[in-house]
Amino acid sequence: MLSYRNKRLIRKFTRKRIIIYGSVLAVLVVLSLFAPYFAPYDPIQISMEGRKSPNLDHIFGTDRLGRDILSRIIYGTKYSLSIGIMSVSIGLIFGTTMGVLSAYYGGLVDTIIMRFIDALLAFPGILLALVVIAVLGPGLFNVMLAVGISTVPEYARLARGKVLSVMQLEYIEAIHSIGGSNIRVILKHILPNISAPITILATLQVGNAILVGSGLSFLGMGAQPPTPEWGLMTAEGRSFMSQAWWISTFPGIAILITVISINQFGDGLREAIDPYLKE
Amino acid sequence: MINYTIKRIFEVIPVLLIVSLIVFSVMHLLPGDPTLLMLAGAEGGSIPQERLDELRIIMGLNKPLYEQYYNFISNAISGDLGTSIRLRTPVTEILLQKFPYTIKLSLLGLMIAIFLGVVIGLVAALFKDTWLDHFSMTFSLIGVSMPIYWLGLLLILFFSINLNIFPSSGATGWKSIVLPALTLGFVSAGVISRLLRSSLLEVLNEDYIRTAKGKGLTDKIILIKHALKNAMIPVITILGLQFGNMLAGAVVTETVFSRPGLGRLVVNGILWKDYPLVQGTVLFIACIYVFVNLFVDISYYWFDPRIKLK
Repeated sequence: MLSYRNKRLIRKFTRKRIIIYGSVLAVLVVLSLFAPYFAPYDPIQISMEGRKSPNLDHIFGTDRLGRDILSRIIYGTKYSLSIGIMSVSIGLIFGTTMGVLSAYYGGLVDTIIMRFIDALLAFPGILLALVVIAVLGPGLFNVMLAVGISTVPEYARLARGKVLSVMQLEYIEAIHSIGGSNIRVILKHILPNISAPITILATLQVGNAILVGSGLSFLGMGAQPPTPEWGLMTAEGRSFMSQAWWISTFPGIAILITVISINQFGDGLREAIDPYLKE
Repeated sequence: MINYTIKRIFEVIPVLLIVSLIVFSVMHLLPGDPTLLMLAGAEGGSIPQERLDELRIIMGLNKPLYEQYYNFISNAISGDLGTSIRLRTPVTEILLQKFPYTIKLSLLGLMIAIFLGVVIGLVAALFKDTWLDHFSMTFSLIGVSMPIYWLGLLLILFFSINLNIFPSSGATGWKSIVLPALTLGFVSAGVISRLLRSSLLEVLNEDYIRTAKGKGLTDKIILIKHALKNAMIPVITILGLQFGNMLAGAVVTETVFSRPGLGRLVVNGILWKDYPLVQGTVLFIACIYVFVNLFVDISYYWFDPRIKLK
């Protein structure tokens, strides 16, 4: 058992982590909303000066068309955040619902849902997204949809596995025997028990969705030039790695910082809500 | 156990049918005439109507849908996945030629991921709240937060351009696989170690661990016989997914390192609008992955006999 002092320490650390990474995320949200006010240059305007290494005028340098990389990164924030939030919402809502219903009701419901999930699962990660893109064609919105659909199976499988474990516990039987309704059991007794692993997965998934989404743009399937999307910007600098490392490096760092902040923020939240750590 | 195994094997059949239906649908959900898209993608310029009609007949697109699907399935079972429009070669032939590159890369990546992931996760959980824990978790946090293509580019910048130790592209010699496999493995190691740490910490809180301690068992036995076996359940569930991530990650990694393989085939197929190539490759990868998942499910059941399916 943790002493009172240690419990307070954990709470403090948790709060600190939420505040620090929450602030980073808040800054990113503000940047994405008010990009024109923060960006020193136009992100799309081509300059005759061409490629320049980081200097006082362009602290992240410019790309081969002379566009300011810092400005492009600032403008690009909104694309990455939207991909993360939109696709995880799609995956979480549909996936968890399917997994819980499948495990709880079992039988035919379980068979039908899980066969469908298994079929989606048969397309690993980015491949299902690619199948969706192959049909819909490249584009940012299609990427959000594609990434969202591709995460549904992971939530469904995890939720189902956890619910099956929880259902073996005696108190679920006890609640049934005192007349607890199915909805009550699911909402009040099962969901809180599976929320920790689902939250961890969702946390990893917001970041992951940003990674997959930008990966699709890197492959030329998502955002199209001259959109200042981070994955696309990384791809644009790929051929110049040996002469102009900054073109690919800074957008990559932007993605890394964003995804780390989201992951840490989610972890902080998890520690705050995890019943095991509250005990 | 045996019944469950047999049941799961039979359950794979409807899954493969649904998968094949999804793959089959790709060409029929396209906005516009698939033959026009394909020929324009392969040859460019304006395509005469006769060429479109000819291709439609060759591919059987003039037949009713159910007949097309039946032909698609029966041809696929006999190993005929059609002919690539762009490469003018049977898709099966191309797949067999590229498959060894991808499977080698995926397996090596997975081995790196498991090794790094288990070691880091174990160290973090056992030394919870020490600097070792913080260090391990920072490492895995960077792993799960890093764009795989960017990591690949950084490795190229460092090991190929600056140090000139490993080649930055191609697939000749063992050296060429090192950087792509590290790229793939590093990302998954982050996922595995995080999951193992959190599940191990959860398991170590359980009553049966306290009972084991009360019986006077040593920490080592408790860890290996009681805790790790249970803590590995979520990790094993995710290992199948991780193998899939390796296959899928190959899509990006093969592109970054200009390596031949199934992943690049899918990307090129989509860019070329070569739908038979996309369908064949996707179906092939999906089939491999279905069988890996089957194996994972069976071992999952073996690790946690509490899960008796209704």
